[in-house]
Amino acid sequence: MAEMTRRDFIKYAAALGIGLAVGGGIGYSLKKPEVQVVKESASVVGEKIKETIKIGHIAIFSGPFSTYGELQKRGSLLAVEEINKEGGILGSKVEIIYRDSAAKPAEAVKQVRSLVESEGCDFIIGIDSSGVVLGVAEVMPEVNKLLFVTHAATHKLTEELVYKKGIKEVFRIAVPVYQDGIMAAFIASQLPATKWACVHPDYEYGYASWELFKKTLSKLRPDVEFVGEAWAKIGTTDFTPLISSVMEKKPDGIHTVEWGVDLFTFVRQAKQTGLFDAVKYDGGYAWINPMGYSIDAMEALATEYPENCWVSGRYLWVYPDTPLNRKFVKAHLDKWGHFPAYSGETSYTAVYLIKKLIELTKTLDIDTHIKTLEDMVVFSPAGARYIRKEDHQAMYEVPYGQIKHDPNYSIPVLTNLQAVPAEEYYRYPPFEEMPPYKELYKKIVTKA
Amino acid sequence: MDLNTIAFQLILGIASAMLYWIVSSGLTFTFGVTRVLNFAHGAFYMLGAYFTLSFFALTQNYLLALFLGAIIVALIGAGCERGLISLIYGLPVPFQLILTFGLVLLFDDLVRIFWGSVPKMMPAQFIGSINVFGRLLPVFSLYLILAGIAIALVLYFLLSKTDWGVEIRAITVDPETAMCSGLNPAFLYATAFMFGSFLAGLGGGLYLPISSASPGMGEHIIIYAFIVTVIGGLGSIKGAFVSALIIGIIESLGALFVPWMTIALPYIALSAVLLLRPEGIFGEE
Repeated sequence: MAEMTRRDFIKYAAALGIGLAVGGGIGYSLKKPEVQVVKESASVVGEKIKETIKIGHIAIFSGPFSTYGELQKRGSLLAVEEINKEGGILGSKVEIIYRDSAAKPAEAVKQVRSLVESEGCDFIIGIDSSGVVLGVAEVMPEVNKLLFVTHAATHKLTEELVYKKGIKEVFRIAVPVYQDGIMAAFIASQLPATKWACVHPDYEYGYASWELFKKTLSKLRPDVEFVGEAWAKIGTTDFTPLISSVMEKKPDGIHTVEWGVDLFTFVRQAKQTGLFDAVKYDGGYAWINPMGYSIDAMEALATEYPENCWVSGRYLWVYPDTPLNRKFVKAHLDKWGHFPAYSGETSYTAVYLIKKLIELTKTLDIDTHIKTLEDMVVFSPAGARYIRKEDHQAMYEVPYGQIKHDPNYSIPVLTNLQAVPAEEYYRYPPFEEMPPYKELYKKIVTKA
Repeated sequence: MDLNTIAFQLILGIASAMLYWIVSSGLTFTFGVTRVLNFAHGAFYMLGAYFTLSFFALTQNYLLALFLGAIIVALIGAGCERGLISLIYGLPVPFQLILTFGLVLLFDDLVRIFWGSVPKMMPAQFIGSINVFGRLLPVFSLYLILAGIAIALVLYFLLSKTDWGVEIRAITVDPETAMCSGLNPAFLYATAFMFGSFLAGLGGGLYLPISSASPGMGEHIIIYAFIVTVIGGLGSIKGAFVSALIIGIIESLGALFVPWMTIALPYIALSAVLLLRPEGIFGEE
């Protein structure tokens, strides 16, 4: 038998450990928009732009976060099938190729090159993790293709890489972390809680959300305090020591951007340790979980997620109540048997945005595409998205709502939806100051 | 901050430690006997959770489902050992790495095919909490502590009081003499691997009712199992128990006193042990 020494063991264990540990960065959100179908352009006469328009879709398809790749794929594949059924884009067929980022920046960069150089892809969409997206964005100028980000939410992507560094090939379809920090604070400001604590995943997304939440809420409500923090590693098996350390500080409000399986564990264990009871108020729980309404969480936790907690997503299938959104939700349900996830909507919209872009410009020229996209308005299931010129961020609002268990639905629904127009809570170039939230606070409207 | 707070946090830390212990015990035991670094241990943990989930759906009896799930995983483990891993016993170490990592990918995808990629939960078990030091201690924390201690006692009994245990120890300490004395190494390696897999499956099944089952769920816990195993000393079961407690407790107290660096504490402990006592607390050079 081959002898393994201790040194060997540690070497291999370390190699595997590093490989797995960097997988921790997903988390931002899922959502998807759809573009208006432009009927007249579907049958333009003349030669095709290209026999087949190829889209490379990179997401996480392996490991503990592979759900997130699956949820995205449901959206983009639905869009591609719909488009091909209607005759393609200016007569060209659309093909989509899926690649696994394994939640690792280096792997995703390799896949971008392979998709562009070997497969001849014309566009790249997807990307789940903040860590991954910052790596991928850097190579887009070099491969000279457009990237439509459908999930990763770090504000550094648009604020620093696009706006400050001038990487023009990158656009983000999904709401950034403003939803998790700033908009969450708007909701918090309306609740009676004055002592807030957090339980967050211990990486960029958690820190960014908590910082924005604290900054915004302390402007809106100078009377609040931030009393405790707990930082959970990705893959935490036991949250009780974290919950207990936070409860020692007697908070009456909890902000948590936990998501995925860690959220399921956290909610289940928070119920047993009395954390929900500690933040109860007349009208619900001062419990704000920005990505709590993601479809995987709702399907897995279902009625175990207490009613009247405040949750959101990067798109909610219940909002807005437009024909376009209803059509999308129905098509998604018919095809997959599941309600669309937020990243399903963003992926669906990314594909339709590519269609619209080619139909408008009748070219595959990148510079023309970038000029066209800047300041463009896109009608999508999530509502009208305005693509801001400076940072290439699609601006649209996503409400928060309170969880309600309804026996007529397979997953919990939302009530008491609260939204603020996107232009009033998104940060603005040059991203140095926070917007004048004091004034905005008064403008919060209820959209049921 | 009063003493009650710290004592309560200690109890929670011990409960957290038990899951690390249960998973590491199988890993270190298998390694001690077969000298195989089994990366697929985390995949067996995942399979334990999924089989428990399915058996629970069939029987509505959690403890029965847990036991059946672990048995199935043990059989799968034995099949892997006989059919695949035994073929590479004589080959260089990287073959173990590649083969067992291949098993991780295989089982992850099989789980996705049979159970789907969206995580699944079973109804919560051990609901409720009891009052300890004026705070609510969840019943499931107690259940983890009891399960961890029970597994430690069973392991102690098996290895010190049964013929199989004596033979396992013999082949671990001195394989050549053990074989000259007529012990059957193939049988012992297969049963040791099977038992290690049983413990992994049991860990997954025990974890299921306080969390969920998801593809790839073993990837996080296996990192901790490796840390625990190295700190305790490779192949040392006693070492795994002690180092799991150390990790669980420092994480728990860390959450109270230094929340911003909780994530780093196990790695700091690992580095300290590697510097001061590279063979691990109970390891032999």
